[in-house]
Amino acid sequence: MSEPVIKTVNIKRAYDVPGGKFYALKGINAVIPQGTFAILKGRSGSGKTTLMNIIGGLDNPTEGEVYFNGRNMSSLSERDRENLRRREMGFVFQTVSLIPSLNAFQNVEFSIRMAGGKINKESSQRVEECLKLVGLGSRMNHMPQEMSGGEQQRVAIARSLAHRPKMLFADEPTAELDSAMAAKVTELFKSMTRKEGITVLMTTHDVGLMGAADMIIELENGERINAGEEKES
Amino acid sequence: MLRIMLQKMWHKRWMNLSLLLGCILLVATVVSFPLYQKSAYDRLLNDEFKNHLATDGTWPTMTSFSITCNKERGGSTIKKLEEYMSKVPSDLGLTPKQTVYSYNLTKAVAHSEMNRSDVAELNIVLGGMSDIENHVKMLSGEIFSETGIDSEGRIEVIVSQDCLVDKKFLVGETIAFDHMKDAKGKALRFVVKGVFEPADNGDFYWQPDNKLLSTGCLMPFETFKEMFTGENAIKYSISANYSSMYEYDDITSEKVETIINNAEHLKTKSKFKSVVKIHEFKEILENYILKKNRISATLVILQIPVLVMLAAFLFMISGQMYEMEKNEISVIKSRGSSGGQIFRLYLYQGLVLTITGSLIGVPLGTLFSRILGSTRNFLEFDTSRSLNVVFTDEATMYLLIAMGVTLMSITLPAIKHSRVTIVNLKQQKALKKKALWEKLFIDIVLLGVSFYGYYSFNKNSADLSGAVLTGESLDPLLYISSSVFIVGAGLFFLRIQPYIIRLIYFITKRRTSPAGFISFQENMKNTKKQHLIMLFLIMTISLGMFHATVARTILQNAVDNTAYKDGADVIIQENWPQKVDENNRPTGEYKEPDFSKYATMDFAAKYTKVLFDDKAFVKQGTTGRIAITLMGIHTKEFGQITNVDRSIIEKHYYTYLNELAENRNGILVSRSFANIHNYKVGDSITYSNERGESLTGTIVDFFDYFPGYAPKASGINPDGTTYSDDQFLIVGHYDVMKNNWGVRPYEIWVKLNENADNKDIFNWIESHNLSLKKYTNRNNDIDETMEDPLLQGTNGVLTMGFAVTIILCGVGYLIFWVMSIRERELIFGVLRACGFHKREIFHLLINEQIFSGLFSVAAGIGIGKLTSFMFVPILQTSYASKDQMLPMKLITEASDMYKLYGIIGAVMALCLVVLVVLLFRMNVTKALKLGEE
Repeated sequence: MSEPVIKTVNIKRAYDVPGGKFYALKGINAVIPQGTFAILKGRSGSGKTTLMNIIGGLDNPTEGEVYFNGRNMSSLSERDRENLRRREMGFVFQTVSLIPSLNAFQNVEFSIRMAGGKINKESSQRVEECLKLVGLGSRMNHMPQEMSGGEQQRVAIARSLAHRPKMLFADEPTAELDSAMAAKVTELFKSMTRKEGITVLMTTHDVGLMGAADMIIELENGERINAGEEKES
Repeated sequence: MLRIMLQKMWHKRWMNLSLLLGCILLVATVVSFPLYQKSAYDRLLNDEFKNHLATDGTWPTMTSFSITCNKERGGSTIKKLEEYMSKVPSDLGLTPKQTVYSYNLTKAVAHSEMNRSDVAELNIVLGGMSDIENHVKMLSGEIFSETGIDSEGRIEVIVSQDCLVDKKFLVGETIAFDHMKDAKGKALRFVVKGVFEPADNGDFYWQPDNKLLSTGCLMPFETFKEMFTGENAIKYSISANYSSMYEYDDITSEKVETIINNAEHLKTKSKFKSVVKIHEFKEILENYILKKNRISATLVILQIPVLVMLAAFLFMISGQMYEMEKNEISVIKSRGSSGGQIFRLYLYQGLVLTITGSLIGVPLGTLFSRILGSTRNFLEFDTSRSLNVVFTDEATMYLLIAMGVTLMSITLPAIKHSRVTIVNLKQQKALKKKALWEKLFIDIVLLGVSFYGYYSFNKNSADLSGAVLTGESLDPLLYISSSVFIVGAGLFFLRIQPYIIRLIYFITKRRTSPAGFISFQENMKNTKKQHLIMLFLIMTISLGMFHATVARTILQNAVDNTAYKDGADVIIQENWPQKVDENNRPTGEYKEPDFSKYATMDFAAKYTKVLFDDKAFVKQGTTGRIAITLMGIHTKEFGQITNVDRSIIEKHYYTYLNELAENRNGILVSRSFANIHNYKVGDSITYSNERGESLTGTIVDFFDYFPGYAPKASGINPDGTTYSDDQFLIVGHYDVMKNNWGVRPYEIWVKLNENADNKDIFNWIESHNLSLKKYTNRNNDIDETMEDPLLQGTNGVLTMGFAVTIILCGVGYLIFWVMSIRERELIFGVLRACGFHKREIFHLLINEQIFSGLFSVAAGIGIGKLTSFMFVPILQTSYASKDQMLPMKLITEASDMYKLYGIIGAVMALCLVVLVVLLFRMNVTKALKLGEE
């Protein structure tokens, strides 16, 4: 295994509740090496979305550190974190997250725009490549409303890849898909790690998909229950 | 269910508050119109009565009946009549303030028992008037006793001073009738007990039968009745007069129709129809109805666009509400709720909003109508002249209609939505159609219709001004054409707007940021949902501008016209006494009153003599005559006192006066001389004054307008057609005319000091005890013009319409803005998660608002200007008075526009604040969660 893309040190996340604090995360340590297809597993309420948001820079830990490519995320400004997200990360959400007024091609292209990439022939080729990758090469000009949920989700995946991020976060991307489609999408993520060298962190509670993972991080009540299963580097 | 509804309403409280605001405004506006109209009509009617009283001096609201009954049937007829007459007021539906019955015997010959040498034969009118005791003041002698018969059996009478002098009576004198006998066959005698005068000079008691005041020998009323109309009455022919006077303040506008109908019945159906006299009263009422109809038609037409906007607003907001609740409805529906239950949910909500709206809206409407009544000018109020507002049945009806519309706007869409399940919804969302109006080219159709209206009205503008002369009301088509044009142009703008955005995108493509890219795409593809708000914005702004221009133009033109027509601030002409010859016969020469007193006019900045002769003429051929008006002026002084707007004449006003000043024999003549009689500059004209004395002058120039000069005189021919005749004016030197014709009665034209007060003028006139032949006061006339109920009503309705549209526009825009942000919270969350900066989201939203909001505002301004330019001139024609002289000028008050822009600017600024607040409160992780529910 190569350099870790993600390294978390004792992450805690507390919420103020009446009568004290509630710890959604109680000290998570994890290391995800580059090119890994990691699955974040756990029941709902186990803290997996919170952890993912913190790793992705959408949320700040109450305690602990997150290192992305060796950089301490909490030392970065909000602005830098945003730039980090738009250039080096990709996101896939549970719900349909395409921009309704853009067609499939434009939605995918948009991540290149966001990352500050030039819009030219090369970028168009990249968009097509990504859409072909998710099996939608023939539907590039369709609007989101004209596609099924699974198709939209695949466009979202293509979008999350187009700007060649180092890290891809997928929060329950298969939740609204049928199992055949879920398997296909999961396989797609895995193949990304192989073809593009991307590191993928995907949350799911679907045990049937665990077989694809290079690494599983399992949470229960804010604690990691399979710590140490991966090698520290 | 109720709990669910309240929860639902609380959850969407901003939405519901907006709906409530819409309800309140709709109810208030709708209710205020009939209230305002009612009180405006009452004032109009009251003014008519007062006017009659002031100009005619007689009580305006009076019914009176006169009859002379012959000798045989006199008594019995009188009995029947009296009974009948007592019921007339109630038949008319009125309570009399004063009723006067008067009877008198027809003239009878009599002799004084004093055997006076100076009076031989007397013609006596013996009579009695009801309640006379309370209306006389004795000047000499005393009033008759209660019975009216003295110990000698003589009838006691009182007479006025006029009668006393005329008949040469002496108080205490006894007169005996030659042929009238009492029951015993003895000659009837009376004694003059006293001389009276009316107790109060302004007493209308004497008006109906004032011949008795000047000639009657008046005995007690009851005694008269007993003696001449009773059971064993002496039979003589009797004249009777029954009059009832009504308090005109009690006659309110809604009673008028009934009174006219009843009066008509009295005149044509009653058995005493030949004796009814209600002519003036009825004429006033009928005149009022004519005026009222013209005003009411106009006001109704002016109100329509505002009411339509209000209804559109409600439907828009409730549409937004359903849009937001679409998901919830379909979820509830899929979980097994019946369509009926959903409908009821919205019905209750609608009822709560409608009823609350009415509770607040009705008092607000009353307030509105008061404000309407105090409008002096567009957006200007004069609280001292507010109206007395009473809630009427008509207002109740309007209220019910408004409530119905409100309720419908909130509940009706529920029927459609309650049928939609989540499955349909997804399908619906997938469908993206062009809007129906776009496919049917409604915009082009509407534009076509309005252009047709525009051209046909323009072509027939002569007919239009003719219609004004005959008192017709504003043609609804005319007004609707302008509204149709606004809607059509607004829709057309919506049609081309995506192309404009596309063009801008094309130009700026290379430099477009990610945020700009999204907003361009959003607006190029997704404008359909914004159509309603954009159209709404366009319509409010253009209607607002149009209304402001209409109101300003109509009023300003009327005022300008009055100011022009008057010629100078004040014009005074004294009655000149005629000189008499040695036999005391008038010579036809006038004696000039003392001119030096004019120097004491402290209120005058400047004054000058003007010879004004409107019976002058120019001989044409051997027998023909052109009737002209002749003016003799001192050019320098005249120029300092008068002025003519540069924009309506070819040269500067002073240029004309200078041209005249340079030539002692020169004359300035109206253009009509050139147009109709082919005169040229340098030609000579021999003109004659009223008395036929002539002078010859050389034309130095032709003018189109001159202070006080009406280029055309229009009116109605006896056959109902209208005419418009050219008028002729010759202006020459006063001194030249004076030297040739002697001093003729002149007018004094005055320019007032800045701070001159009308009171000063009156005091001056009073103190010099002037007898005036002519007095015009421009300020008074302008005030009168501005008081015209039609202008007032128009101003009121337009002002309120303007205010309401501005409120709606602001609220509507704000709601749309907030909605469009909240609707897309999820997408913004996604964008933020992907690393979009807040600044970029801000940028994106600003862009969108520029494309939909600012573009609409700009389109609204453009369309408003265009509409004003096209339709105000036509509209103004229909308002112009029959003595409109000046060409129409389009008036826009910059301050109105600033108010409009200011409010739009404020709303947009508020939108920015809302945006910033929403953005800062937006939590990315929460926004994302939104979608997971």
